[in-house]
Amino acid sequence: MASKASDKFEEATNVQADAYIAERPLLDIPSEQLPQVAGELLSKGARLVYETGIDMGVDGFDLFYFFSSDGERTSPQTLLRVRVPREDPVIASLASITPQASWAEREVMEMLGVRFTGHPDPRHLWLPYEWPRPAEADYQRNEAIMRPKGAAANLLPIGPYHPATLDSNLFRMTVEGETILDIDIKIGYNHRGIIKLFEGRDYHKGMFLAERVCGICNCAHTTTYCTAVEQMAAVEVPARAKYIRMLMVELERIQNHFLWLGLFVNVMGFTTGFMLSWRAREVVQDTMELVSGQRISHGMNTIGGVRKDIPSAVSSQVAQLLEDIRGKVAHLERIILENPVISDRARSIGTLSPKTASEYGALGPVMRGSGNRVDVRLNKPYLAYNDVDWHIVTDRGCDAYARMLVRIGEMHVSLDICKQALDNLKAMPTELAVKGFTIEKPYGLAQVEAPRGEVVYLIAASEYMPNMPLAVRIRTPTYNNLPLLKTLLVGCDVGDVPVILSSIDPCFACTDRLTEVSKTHNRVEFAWTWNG
Amino acid sequence: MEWLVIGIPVVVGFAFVMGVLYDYEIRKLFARMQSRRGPLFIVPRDLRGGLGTTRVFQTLYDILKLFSKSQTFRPSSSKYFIAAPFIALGCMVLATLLLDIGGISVFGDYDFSMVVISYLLFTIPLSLIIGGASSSSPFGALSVRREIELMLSYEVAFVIGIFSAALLANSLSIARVVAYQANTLPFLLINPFAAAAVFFAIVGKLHMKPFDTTEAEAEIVSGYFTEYSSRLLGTFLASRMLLLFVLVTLFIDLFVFIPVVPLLLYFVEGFLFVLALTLVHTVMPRYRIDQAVSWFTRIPLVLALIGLVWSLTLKYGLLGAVW
Repeated sequence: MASKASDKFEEATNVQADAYIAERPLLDIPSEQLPQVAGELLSKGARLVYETGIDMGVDGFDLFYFFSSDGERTSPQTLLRVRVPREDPVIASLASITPQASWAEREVMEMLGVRFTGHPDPRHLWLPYEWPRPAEADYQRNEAIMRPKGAAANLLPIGPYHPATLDSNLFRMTVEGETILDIDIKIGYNHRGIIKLFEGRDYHKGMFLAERVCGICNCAHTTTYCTAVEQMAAVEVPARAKYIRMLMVELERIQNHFLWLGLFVNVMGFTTGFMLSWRAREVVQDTMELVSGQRISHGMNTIGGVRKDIPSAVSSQVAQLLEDIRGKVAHLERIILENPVISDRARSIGTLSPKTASEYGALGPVMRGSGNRVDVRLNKPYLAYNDVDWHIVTDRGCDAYARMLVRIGEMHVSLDICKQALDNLKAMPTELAVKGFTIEKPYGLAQVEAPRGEVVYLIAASEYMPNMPLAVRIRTPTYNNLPLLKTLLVGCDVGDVPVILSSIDPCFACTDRLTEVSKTHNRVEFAWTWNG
Repeated sequence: MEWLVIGIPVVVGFAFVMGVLYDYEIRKLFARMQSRRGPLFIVPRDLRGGLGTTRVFQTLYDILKLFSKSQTFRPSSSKYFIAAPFIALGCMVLATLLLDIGGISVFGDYDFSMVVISYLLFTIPLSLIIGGASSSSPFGALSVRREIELMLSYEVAFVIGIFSAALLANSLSIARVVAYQANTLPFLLINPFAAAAVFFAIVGKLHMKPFDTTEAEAEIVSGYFTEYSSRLLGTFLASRMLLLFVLVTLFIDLFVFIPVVPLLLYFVEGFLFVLALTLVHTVMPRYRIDQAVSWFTRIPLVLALIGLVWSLTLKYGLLGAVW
């Protein structure tokens, strides 16, 4: 499959694949060719999965552009690598071609100092807008964009601390009456420096960091991380471990969707639905505790497999709990879908056309709620998704209600997958993990469909320290979905903001992990950490 | 005169305690229907040292706590910011004096009590609007805008609804409407349309779901209450307790009065009415403001107009002779 994809690509671009990252062709191209090559790939329907940079010391900066054309079970994927010199790190911006590159380039600008010429919005992403060092060299222009004038008269802030959004973020909305005229999204209020911490630790310790990127989807994060490292070590995970991982990831999806459903109806004021949904989520938490011993950070995955088995006694208990959960999903579905006010509030709100969704590279239920069949489990199957019977859930409603229907549908599908995983585990060899590995390949790249959408980990091995990564880059689903908010919110009512905002299921904790800013004695100090 | 010095505090005190009890009922039932615990009716033995034997008066404790805090002011807020809660409380105190509580009109009969009380009830949204607008908070401003729209829609249904009852009893005095029902059936059975319209308007007046749009915490923090804290917020909450009592009692007076023993059935009727309010509050999410206004014009207003026509028919029309 990989060679076929690369053939296709080579035909299109007339360049040879220089290497492969986990079966995906990696092409080194000179920086001046980038807009043309990327434009060609995008025009052929590929999406920019992730763009990031790695500091290579005196050699300069390596910029990675990861493209994927999503198809059913065959997704040709390509990585472009461009090296820019340290002395004069300038490269043409892709953000003018596709909005998918905008955030990534702003991040690389402020973190590595690479200058993207022609970026339409070269403001800081994670750092405060007022930060003394501009992200882009054109300081005057940047300054003008940083301080919008005339917006103060009817400026309505949501955040950084607001009851609707429990995580910190700031939406500065210009409103006229109840209608939103313009909106500016500022994130970067949650600083943990996780990506920097990855760099000084060996691969095993990195897993615990990956687990703590997000409390809600920690199994997805560890699975992605482990898969990437396993690719670098050329380790094949035992079948039993694959099924256990799949079971955990799917249970996690169910609990995330319960959590989301509760929050979604809560912002519409339906506290009863919220309480019942979170009560039902407790059963899923109990199930996961039964399997892993932990309620939140499960610690199931290890590089090469999983740490714990599911004995047959536990398996039958889990099967019973799954039936219980199925009943609760059906109950909630009835309560929520039959409520006329929910339908009035969520229908035709936050309409996202399939075309705009693809253009912005939306992910997860947001993409599927617009009728696009994008799901890593289908497009690039991993774990044992090829061996179980499941179907992708999409809806053509394109609104907040459609996204809710997709998530409810996914809960049913996840329950089916869990049941099949439990059944298949009974007749499987007992080997749980491959012990011992050495890192053989310079890069690892993995994609996993987390509850909110696709999570991507790109790991670069260190040349000098065999057991430590040079860099780890994490792309969370909210990173792609959040820039969409501007298109969704402009023109709608203030009353719809929380509904639309929660309909994309943002996770700010996943997305902002990174910079550290401290202000002492009127002197601003800045610790250089990395964003993902 | 001496009677008033004793009587007014007793009636207002009773009204306030009943308001707190009704609020307890709402909180408790709301919690139980959501599979939460809610304020404890009987506190476990181990916790009694700190909590007392019961938390029935939880709302009272909340208000008392607010009175122990200090108020912060935004420099740009005006003096009406302070006046608004006291306007609300004062008008609600007056409204309690006009009511007929479970068959007892403490301060006698007053010819136009129904007109006066509808004006006094109207001051509650007005004081919220004054307070929110003068708080100089952007959330307050949005909330005030919503409150004006919502108020215009529910007040019409409310006024038409209660005057349908007045038409049936041929009097604008609450005490006489009560006395009239004692001889016939409760007006709930005679004119259910007007009763339903008034019920929905009361849900709106109390800002219970689905009409708590003006206090939607997910959108506009606490709306007009955003800048209020401590005593001023406590005063607003106290006036809300009185408002709850006034609306429950007014509905019972006008539509469901059954004279058996004074006061006895009042508690049962009050409990059932608050139960109905709580059920609506529990099963409903919040309407957006335009949806709320459109719903009020589509259903309660139409019901109220049908109720008015029905009352007129009963009084003067074809059924007049039979009546």
